[in-house]
Amino acid sequence: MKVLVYPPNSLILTDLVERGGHEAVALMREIGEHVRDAEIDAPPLNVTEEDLKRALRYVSVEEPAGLKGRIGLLVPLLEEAEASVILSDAPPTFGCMGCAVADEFFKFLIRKKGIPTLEVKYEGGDKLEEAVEAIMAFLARLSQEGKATKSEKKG
Amino acid sequence: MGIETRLILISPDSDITPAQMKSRILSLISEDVAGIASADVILKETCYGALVEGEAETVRAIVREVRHMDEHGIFSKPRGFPIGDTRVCRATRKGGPRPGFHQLELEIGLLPKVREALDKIG
Repeated sequence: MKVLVYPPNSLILTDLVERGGHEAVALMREIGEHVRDAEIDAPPLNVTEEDLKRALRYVSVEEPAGLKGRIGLLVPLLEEAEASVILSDAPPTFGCMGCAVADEFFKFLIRKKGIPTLEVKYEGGDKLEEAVEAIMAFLARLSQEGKATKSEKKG
Repeated sequence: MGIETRLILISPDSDITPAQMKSRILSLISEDVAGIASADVILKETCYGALVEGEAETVRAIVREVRHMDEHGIFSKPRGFPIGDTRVCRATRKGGPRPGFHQLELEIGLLPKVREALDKIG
């Protein structure tokens, strides 16, 4: 199953999702496609027209340019995701969140999509163990549901 | 799948050193585990572990094998920029921290806690 991690470039979340046997949908792959695109002069500073068109499906045209650019970059992750893990209230150094508005808006878009989502609160390094246990249990449940769905389709 | 660059990081409480990890990856290439030898793989040793670049499937096979060295102490994530990209190189950006350094620094500090949790789960 494709599991979106948020913050979208978190090392710990990406690694846990892969350990849980799922494919992590993370920002790094999207950035990788942008920086290897020959049409872009100095990525990731340049936002392409395609990014803005994608953003305008979700964001009003009056919104600030920064928000549109960030959402345009993040939206492909949302469209690809079949489940998500959100670590809320994480410090800015835990993973890139763009700006506060983009952060809130993207989390809203994830919740609105209606995919299975686990929201864990970051309560400091000492309580990280509980968060890791909750995430691994959620990923195990996703694996079981995925297997059940496959067997239903076969039957 | 295309080309993928991956960071392989060693938890600070692990007994594995980046040099040991690099040697293991080089031996995987020479032993041709999972067809790695025939693929173009770029490897760079770093202070926190290593950077590996190549075909996505090959890179993932390397990560799977390297994890056996310390199952709960070796972590990995993809990286957007290729190895040696001048746009994020400190030398060409006239110094300052590498983009993403502060995020990596915080998360590496938390890895021993993640290991404890993974050990409990088993």
